[in-house]
Amino acid sequence: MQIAPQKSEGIQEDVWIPTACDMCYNACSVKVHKVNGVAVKVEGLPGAPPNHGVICAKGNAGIMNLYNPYRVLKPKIRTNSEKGIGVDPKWREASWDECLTIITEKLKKIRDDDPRKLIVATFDTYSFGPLTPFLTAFGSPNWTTGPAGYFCGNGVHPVSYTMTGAIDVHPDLQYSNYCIHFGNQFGFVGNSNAMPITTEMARARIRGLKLVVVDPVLSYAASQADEWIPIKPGTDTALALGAINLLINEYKTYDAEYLKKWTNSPYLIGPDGRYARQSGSEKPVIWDPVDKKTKTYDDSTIKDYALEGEHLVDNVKARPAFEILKDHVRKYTPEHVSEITTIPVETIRRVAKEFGEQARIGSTIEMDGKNLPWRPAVATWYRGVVAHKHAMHNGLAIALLNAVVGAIDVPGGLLNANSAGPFGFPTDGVDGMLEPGNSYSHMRKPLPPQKVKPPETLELVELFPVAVYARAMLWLGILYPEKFKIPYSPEALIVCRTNLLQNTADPQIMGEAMKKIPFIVHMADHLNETSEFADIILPDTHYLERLVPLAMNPYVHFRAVPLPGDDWAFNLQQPVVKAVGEARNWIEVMYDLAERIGILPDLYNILNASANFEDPHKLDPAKKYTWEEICDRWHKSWFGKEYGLDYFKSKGYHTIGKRTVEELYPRPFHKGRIPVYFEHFLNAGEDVHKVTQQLGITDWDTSDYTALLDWKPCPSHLETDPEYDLWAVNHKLPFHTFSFSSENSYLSELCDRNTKVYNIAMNPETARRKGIKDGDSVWIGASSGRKQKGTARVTEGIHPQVVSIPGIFGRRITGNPEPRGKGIHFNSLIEYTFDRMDTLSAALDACIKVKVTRD
Amino acid sequence: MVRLSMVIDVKRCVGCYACSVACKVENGTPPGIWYAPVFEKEVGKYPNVKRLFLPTLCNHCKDAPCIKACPTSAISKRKDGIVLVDQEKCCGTKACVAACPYGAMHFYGEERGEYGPEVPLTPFEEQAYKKFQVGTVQKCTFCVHRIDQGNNTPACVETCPTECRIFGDIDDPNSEPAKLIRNRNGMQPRPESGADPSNHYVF
Repeated sequence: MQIAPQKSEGIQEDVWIPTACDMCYNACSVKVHKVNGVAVKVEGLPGAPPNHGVICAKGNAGIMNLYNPYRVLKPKIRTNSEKGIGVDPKWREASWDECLTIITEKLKKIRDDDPRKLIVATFDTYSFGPLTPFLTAFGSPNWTTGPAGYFCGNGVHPVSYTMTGAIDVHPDLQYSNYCIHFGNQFGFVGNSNAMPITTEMARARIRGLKLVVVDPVLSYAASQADEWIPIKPGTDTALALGAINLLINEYKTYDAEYLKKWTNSPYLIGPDGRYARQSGSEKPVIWDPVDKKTKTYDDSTIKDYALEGEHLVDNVKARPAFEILKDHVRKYTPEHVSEITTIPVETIRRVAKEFGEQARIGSTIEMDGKNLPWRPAVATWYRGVVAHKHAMHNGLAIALLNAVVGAIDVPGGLLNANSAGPFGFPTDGVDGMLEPGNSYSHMRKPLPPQKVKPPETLELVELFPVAVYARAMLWLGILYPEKFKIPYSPEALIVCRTNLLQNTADPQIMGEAMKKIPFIVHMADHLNETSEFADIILPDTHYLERLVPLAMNPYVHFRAVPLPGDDWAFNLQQPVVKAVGEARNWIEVMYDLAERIGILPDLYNILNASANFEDPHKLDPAKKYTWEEICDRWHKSWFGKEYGLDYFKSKGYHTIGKRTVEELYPRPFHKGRIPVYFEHFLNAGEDVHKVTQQLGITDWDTSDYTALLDWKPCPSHLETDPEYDLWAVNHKLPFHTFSFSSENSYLSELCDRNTKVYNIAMNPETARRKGIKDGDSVWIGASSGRKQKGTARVTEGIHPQVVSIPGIFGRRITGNPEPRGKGIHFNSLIEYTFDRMDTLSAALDACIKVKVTRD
Repeated sequence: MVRLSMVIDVKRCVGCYACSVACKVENGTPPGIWYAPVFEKEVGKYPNVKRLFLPTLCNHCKDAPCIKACPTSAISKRKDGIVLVDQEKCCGTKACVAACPYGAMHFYGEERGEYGPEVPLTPFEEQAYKKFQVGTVQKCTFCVHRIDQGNNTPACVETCPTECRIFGDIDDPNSEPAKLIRNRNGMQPRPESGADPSNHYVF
């Protein structure tokens, strides 16, 4: 390079091809430079919302996964019938036809017997749309993901649906002045919408936004924050409730107007904890202090709502929900919260005060000719807060902190990802409470609660009426079908693009569960820990080799929604280069299998409905379409006949206009109320109790189904053995996604050069106490007997009672040998038992008490 | 005169390493050679502790020590200020590596692949490594190949999600980097080196 001129002779092909990145689930629009058939560069696609031409380290590095020389090139069949961790499957190469014939035969048999015995596991979020019709046509409800269903969205998505009607929430950094991050890294290349929120965060910090990060670890976000507040793991809820107590009871800083109009704060609560209702209409009632009488919540003559006082409803005493909340949080005094969290009393007081003041209650802002409430203070949360036993309460407590100051779905506050758009709008449903209006949104909704039934699914989601899924229960359901009264056992698992053994929970337990499934197909681009349990390996394509329609779809997913000022945008993932070896796009293989099994016409009919295919682009079940044709019809159905594959292949993305002020900030534009008092939990909990008792499941804990939120200790907080004196936590790196990115040679080299990746972080005080020095080899062991060996890194950036392990390393089976064995596998320390599950959200507790000793 | 420079807004940087990897792919540098590394430093005592991220690259110094040190006159400065190595003239004495105060000169000693000696070079590497002669010194070029094609945005700037790298001509007082240096007290890295580095940092 340098001065010597680049040879330009011999270049036959020099093109840029737009597509969707797949190095995480955000579907950023990218363009790929291809020279003589080789992909040589990935860049953000200029102009394409929401990432607008920028991409992260992972996205830049994507071509090194594409050209990983250890890719799976041919199908393989296991010849060793014994399965287990460390047991060689003794692969033999096979043809696609031989493999598909075997799989077809197995699937046909299962379908004739009981189709529920098939599980498909994937976190290929772009393929959820085409995959679900396969499962529905087959007749199985057993679809699962990886870690996102264990530790991540459990205490986020149901809370977001309840409070905004959308699957997810994020801070409005463009209009906020004060942001508290609880256990997350929004704006630091973490979480959903990673690129645009990172850009917004940098601009906001330059503008003067104050960022406070509550985290046991000096995360990337904490290290750049105005204030880092180290906290004992699993105690964020106490801090949030403590702040709510101060705001309501001491500082008198709460948004009474917001609470009256848009929450159930004024609903009168009877002595049984339920809404007091008007006899006849059975509608919840409020007290109008002007007319001095009770009225139904939707009475058009209401002049004002009482938030306090005792009122008679049919001669029974009742009080507004707000007053009950107000009294309930009194016990979270700063002193008590300090004891729980280890945060100094003065810090708790100051942050709560700042948050309340910065919310500027009463202020308004004009946007697009509309006068909106402006609440420029926001509190956010994600995995750090919800990877715990009481995940639902934890997520709700942070959401409630926003609600108290009126900062949900208004400028400056906590925003819905996609509750309102061209597809619909939130509305008022049962008891006047918010009901989501987005018909594309794909998860089960928690409010009103789902009906509780004996389990049909292996993940027992029927026993989780206020959860959006129950993924982490799946393997317990497989291991203990008798205990959980599941009337069948799985016969086959098809897994693709999720490394269940490495990403979820204790691999030993996962391995035992995998062994109980007689037939496993792994569609893989490289072999990993999950492949070890497969019977058949099918080579999968890399994302630069495959076609997937609507990879970025902000109607359905939350990961790439338009932020203020931006357009609704959609993109396509298209092949940039020819697939290596015999690799095939796994979702196309699923459609081939559907044809072989004989369910293709059903699949087409279901896809027509579920993906909103419209005439004349609907699929005719009597015909057979190529994958290209299906994708073409899909895009034309959504955007019109000019916007088929040809359009998307050449432009890469399509926008349909700005997200309006009403869509961004729907709160003032609909009547659906959000709960500050979770009355709907009471009956849901009773139903769960009734059904589990009937089934004979005696240890199903329903004690978290309370109308008021509380901080409760995680199982680790109750461990008393003084030998296990530290908490182990896991933290995220901006240059890695799950486990698969560790295959990438560039990212692997980056980790080799970074001294903060392949080790266990501990505070100098802790290290001194243990006689450990930076760089020492140490053992980290849990009281369950699980242990891992690693290298100590002594840093001021961690709570003295905590040790932290980043990412998903400690890989045992990888294609690329470089990362193998480096770093520590955090999940191997996690105990995977029913008593560590949140029975509301189905989150698995990742809070582990450990001892650390020198090797 | 034109003096191309990069101003790095350290307050914006979040340590995501997008720039480092974008540079690595754009230039297809061999294993171990990173033109745009990010350095991290922890400062303070618990709980008042911060981690600083310092994105770096060749400073394209006005009085470049590498140029003076090179015995074969392989290093030169273009009119726009970009410092480049002529691989045809470079004999690999590594004098420039020793002379550079910023560790920005990288000696390319042996051809090997990113995925190790057991496997052939990837198709990407096969193309990329043709540009590098074994036994010569390599360095950041401000993506001169892009500039010469009319794209004034180096790869590290293009990809940065926090807009922390601002590139342009600092001899033009109206350029973004010149304004930033003026308004936020831009500082040269280790000015005592005497090399008069073109790049600046704002904090």
